[in-house]
Amino acid sequence: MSANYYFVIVGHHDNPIFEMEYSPTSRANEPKKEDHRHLNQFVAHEALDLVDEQMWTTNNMYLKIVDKFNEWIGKLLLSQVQMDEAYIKHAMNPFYEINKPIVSPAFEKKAQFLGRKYLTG
Amino acid sequence: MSSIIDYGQSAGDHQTILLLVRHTGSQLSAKKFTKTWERVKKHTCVSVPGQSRSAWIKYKRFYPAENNEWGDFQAHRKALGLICVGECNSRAQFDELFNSYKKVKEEYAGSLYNSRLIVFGLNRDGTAIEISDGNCAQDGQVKTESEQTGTSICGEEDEKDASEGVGGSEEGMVSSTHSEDSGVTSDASPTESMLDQTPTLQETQKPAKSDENDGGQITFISTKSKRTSKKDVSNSKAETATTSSVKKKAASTSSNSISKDATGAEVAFYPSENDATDLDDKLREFITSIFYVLEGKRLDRSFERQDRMQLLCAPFEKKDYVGLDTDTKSFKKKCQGRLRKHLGDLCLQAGLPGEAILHYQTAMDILRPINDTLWVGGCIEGLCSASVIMTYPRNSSALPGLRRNLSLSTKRGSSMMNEAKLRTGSIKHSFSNGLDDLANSGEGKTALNPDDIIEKYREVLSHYSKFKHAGIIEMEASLKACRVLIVQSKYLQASDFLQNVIYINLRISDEDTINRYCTLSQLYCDIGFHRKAAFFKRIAAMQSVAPQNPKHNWAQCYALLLQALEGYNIALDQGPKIHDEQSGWPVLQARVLNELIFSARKMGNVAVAVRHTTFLLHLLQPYLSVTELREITSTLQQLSSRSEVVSQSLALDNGLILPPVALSNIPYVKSFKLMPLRPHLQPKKLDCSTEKVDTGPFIFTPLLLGQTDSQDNMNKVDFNLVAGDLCEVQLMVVNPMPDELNITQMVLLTEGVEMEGYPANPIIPAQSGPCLVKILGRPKSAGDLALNGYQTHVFGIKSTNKLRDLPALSMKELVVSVTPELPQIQVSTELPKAASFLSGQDSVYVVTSGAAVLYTGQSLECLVKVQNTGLQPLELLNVHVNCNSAEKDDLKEMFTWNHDNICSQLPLQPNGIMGFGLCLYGMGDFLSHTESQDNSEPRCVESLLRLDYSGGPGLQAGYCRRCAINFTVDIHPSVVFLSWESLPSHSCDHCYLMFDLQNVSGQELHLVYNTNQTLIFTPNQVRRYVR
Repeated sequence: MSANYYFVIVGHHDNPIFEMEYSPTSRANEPKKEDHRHLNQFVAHEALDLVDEQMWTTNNMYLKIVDKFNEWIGKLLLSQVQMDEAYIKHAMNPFYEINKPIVSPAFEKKAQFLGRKYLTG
Repeated sequence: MSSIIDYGQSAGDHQTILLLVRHTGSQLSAKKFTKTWERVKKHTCVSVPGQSRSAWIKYKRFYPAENNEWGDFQAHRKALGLICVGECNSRAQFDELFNSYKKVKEEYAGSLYNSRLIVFGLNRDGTAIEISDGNCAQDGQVKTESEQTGTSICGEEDEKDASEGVGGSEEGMVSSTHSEDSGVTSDASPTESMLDQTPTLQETQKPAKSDENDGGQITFISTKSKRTSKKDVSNSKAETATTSSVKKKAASTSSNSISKDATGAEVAFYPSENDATDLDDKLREFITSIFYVLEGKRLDRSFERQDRMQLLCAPFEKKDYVGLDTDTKSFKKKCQGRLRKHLGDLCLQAGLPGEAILHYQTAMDILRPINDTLWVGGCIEGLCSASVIMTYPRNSSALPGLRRNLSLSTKRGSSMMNEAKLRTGSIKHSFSNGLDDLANSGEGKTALNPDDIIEKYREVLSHYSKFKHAGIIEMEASLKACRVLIVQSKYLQASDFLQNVIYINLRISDEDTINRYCTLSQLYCDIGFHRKAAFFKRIAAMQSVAPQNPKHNWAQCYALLLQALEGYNIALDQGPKIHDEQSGWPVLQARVLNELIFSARKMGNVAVAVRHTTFLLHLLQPYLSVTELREITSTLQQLSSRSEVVSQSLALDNGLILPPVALSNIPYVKSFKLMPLRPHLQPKKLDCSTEKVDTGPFIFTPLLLGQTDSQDNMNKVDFNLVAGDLCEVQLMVVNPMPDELNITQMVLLTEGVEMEGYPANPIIPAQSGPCLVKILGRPKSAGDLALNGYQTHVFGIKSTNKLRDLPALSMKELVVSVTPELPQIQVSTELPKAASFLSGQDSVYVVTSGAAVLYTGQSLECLVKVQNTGLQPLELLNVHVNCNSAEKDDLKEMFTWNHDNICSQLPLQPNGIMGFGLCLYGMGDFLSHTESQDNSEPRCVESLLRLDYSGGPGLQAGYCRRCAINFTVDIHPSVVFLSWESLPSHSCDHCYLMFDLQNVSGQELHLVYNTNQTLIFTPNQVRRYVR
C-alpha cells in the first residue's frame, strides 16, 4: 500500500484534538507538495458534515467511505477499538482537559504503531 | 454574463414559461432598466382569466441561443416571449430602437410566441414629449413613413388621427387615451411582414390550422397565435380586430374597434418608468396571450397524423439523423414518442401536471423498446418534475424564498426522523408552513410518491450520463433532484446528488466553473453541510484566481472567501472576546485567512488587508508557529507603514462591517491597577470629626442579598484623585510573541473627566512577563473619572482594549472620584533628620522628620518652613500634634506654636515660603519615684506634627491634604528631686523646704536658685538645698 493517511480526532467544538499523518516508509522522505499543504485537513474537515449525518443512520462505528474528493477518500472509523482504548486511557488522565489538544508522546506512539499496523502495513 | 448552465434550475421550472427581458438600445440607463426588470420580474405567476390554471413565468435577461436549441428536448428551455425595454426621445431614435428589437426577435424567432417592446421617453401615443398635442398628426405621419419599411402600423395612425378629428369633440379626455393606443397599434404587423404570412390566416380560430400552413413547424408565428388567443378571450371583437391589422385602412371603421385592437399591441410607450401605471396590466395580458398560444398547441393533435410526422432532436443529435432512412418503423416510433413527450412538456407548462404525467408515461412506453435512452431520460425527468409539482405545489403567493426557509428551519440530524415519517406516511404531506397539498386531488394518483421521485431521478441521471453532450442536462437534473431532496429534508441523499455534480465532466468556462462551485456551496449550505459549503466556496475562490484562468478576479476571490469563513468558524465581526475553548480548525482558519489577506492585498485594499492580518494574529496567535508569527508581524509592519491605518470599522462592498480588531493578547495584560496618590498627597475630607457611623436598628450582614448592582459599586475605588495631579496605572503585561515587543504607545482610555495622558513606551522582552508597565495621566478637572481600558500601538496597529472585553481582568471599568485642585506644600525643619522613627498611626503622611535632644525642662524653638510648591494658594493650615505613646497628655506642652502667627501669613501664594516657630519643651518628671539609679535613663518621645492644609477650589469643596513631620525628641533627665522635707521656721508663717537634688545629666550643671545664687553641680552629685 502506497497511500498516505491522515488521522484526526475531533472534539466537540469542531476542533481537532489529535492529528497524525501516516505515510508508508518508502515515501516518508518525499517532500510534501506545496499545493497539497493542508489539503488533507480541508478534505477531512468537509467530510465531517457527512459524518455528522451518517452516524445517525447506523449503529456501526465504521462508516465506510463517507466522502471523496478527487483522489482523497475519506474513510471513517468513528472509533477503532485500540485507538479508542488509547483515547479513553488518555482522557482519564486528570491533567487532560476534554476538547483540548492532546500532547502526549505515549499517545502519539500508540497511534503511530496502530497506523503502521493497520494502514500503511 | 451568459452562462450556459442554469444552476438555479429546480423541478418547478419545468412548468414555467421562459420570457426574455432585454435591454435594448443605448439610451436607457442601466438603472432604469434594472428598475423595470425588477418590476417585470414580480409577475411570476399569472392567473389566466377564464381558467382555473395559472401561468408560471421565469424571466431571464440573458439566454444563449444554444440553450434555446434544447427547447425541443425540454419545452421549458425555449424562450417563448420577449420583452425589450428601451428609451428614446425622437422618432428617429425609435426606429433605431425598433430595429434592434427586431434583431433580437429574429435571433429567437424559432421559439418566440409573442414579444413586446417597452419604450420610455415618449408620450403614450408615441410622440416626442416636447411636442404638444396639436402636432400629433404630423408626428403620426413621420411614424407612418418610418414604419412602412418593415411594418404597417402607419395606416392606423392616420386613421386614428382622422378619427380624433371626427369624434374628438365628444370626448376630450378619452381622445388622448385613444391616441395613446394608436401609438401602440400595429399589433403584430412587424412579425407578419417578417415571416411573410398570408393575411387570410387571420380568420382561423384554431391555431392548429396555422400550424399546418407552417409546414408542420411546431413553433408558432407569434402574431397569429397572439391574435387567436385574443379571440379565445373575446371572440366577438377578434373578428373586427383581425381584419384591421391586415388591411388597416379598411379596418378603420370606428375609433372603438381600433382602441380595442390596440390593447394587445406590441409596442408600449411611456413617458417615464414611473409613469407606466398600466405596465403590469399589459404584462399580464402579454403573458395570458402566450399562455393561450401554448394552450392552443397543447390541444393540437395534428402530430398524431402519420404523414406529418416530424422528429424532435436534441441539438447534438441533429447531425446523426441527416440522411437517415425516415421510413423505418423505429424512426416513426421515435418521432411519435418524442412528440408525445413534448406534449407532456406543454401540458406541464399549461398547468396540467396530471395530464403531463400520462403523456410522459405513454412516451416512455413508446421510446423504451427502441432504446431512445436520452429521451427516455427526458420522459422520466418530466415525470419527476410533474410529480414534484403536484406533490409540492408552489403557492402563488409564496415567495421563492419560502422553500429555503423550510429547509433552514429543519434541524440538523432530524432528517432521519423526517425520512421515517415520509416512508410510513402516504403521499399526502402537510407542511408546517401551511402549504396545502394538492396531491390529494384526483390527479394525485398518477404522481410518483416522494421516494420514487428520487429513484427516478437516479435513473434519469444514469440515462443522461451515457451522452457526453448532455452534460448540461445531467448537471441541471442533479441540481433539481437535490433541490427536491432538500424539500423532503433528506440531506444525506441530497449530498449524493451534489457529489455527482462534481464528477460530471464538462468543458465549461471558468466563470461557469466558479458558478458551479458556488451553487454547490449554496446547496450544501441549504442541507446544513456548512463545512462542505465553505470548502466549495473556497474552491470557487481559488478557481477565480487559478493560474490557468487568464483573467484573475481578485475581488471575486475575496468576496467568495469571505463567504467561506463561516464554515471554518471564523466570524470577522465577532466581538473582541475570544472564546476560551478553541473552535474550528486553526490550521485551516489560518490558511483561509491568509488567502483572504492575500486577495485583499491583490485588490489593493490595504486597509482591509491590515484589518484581516490583525484579526489573524489576534485569533490564532496561540496556534501559529514562530516563523508564521514573524511573517505576520513583518507583514503588518510593512503594510501599516505604507498607508494610514484606520481604526474605525470598515464597511465591505457586501455590507459586512469589519469592526476594529484589538490585539488584546499582544501584549497580554494580566492585571490593571489604578494606584492611589501617595498618602501625603491624598485628599481628605476637611471635617472628619463630623463623620459619624450610622448605627441604625439594623444588624450588619456580610451577605449580599439581591444586590445586583454590587458589581458597579465594586468598580468604584475607595480613594480619590486630585485634579491636576499625576495619577498612575500599573499593568502587568506578558509578551507571548517570539520577539521583543516594542509597544510604541500605551495610553489609558478614560471617560468622564478629561485626562491628560502620558503615553508609556515599554519594550517587553520576547516571551516574557509579567512585566510592570506604568501609565501616567493627569485628570484635568474634578468629577468622576472612569478608566475603561487602554490603547496600544503595536506593529503600527492601534488597538483599543476595553476592560470589559478582557476576561483575565474580570472588571468592567474603574471609577474614581477626582477632587478639585489642592495646593501642595513642602515642609522642612531646621532640625537634623531623624535616623529612624517608629511607624504608627498617621505615619504614612510623614514627609520629613526632625530629631532633637532636650534635657528635662529645656525648651527649644525651631522654625518649620512651609513652601507652596503647588499651583493653588495655600489658604488654610491647621497644625495638630499627636503621638501614639503614653505621653499624649504632655504633648500640648511639649509642642507649642502660635496659631495666629500662622494665620497671619496665609494665604500663601504658589512658590511662596512661610515659616512658623515651633517650640519644643523637654517635659519630664523631676521627681524620683524610686531609689534606684534608672533616673538617668533618657526618654524618647516620638510625635507627629500633622499639617492639614488646603486652598483654592479644593478648599471650597471641603477637601484638604495632610502631611506630617515626625519629631523624635530625646529627653534626657537633668536634675531629680530625690526627697524633700519641710522644716519649721523661725516664724510661724514660714517654713524651710529642703530638697535632695541629684544631677543625672552627666554634665556639669549650674544651678541658679533664689535669685543670684549659683551652684555648680557635677554629675551624679546629690546635694541638699535649703530654701
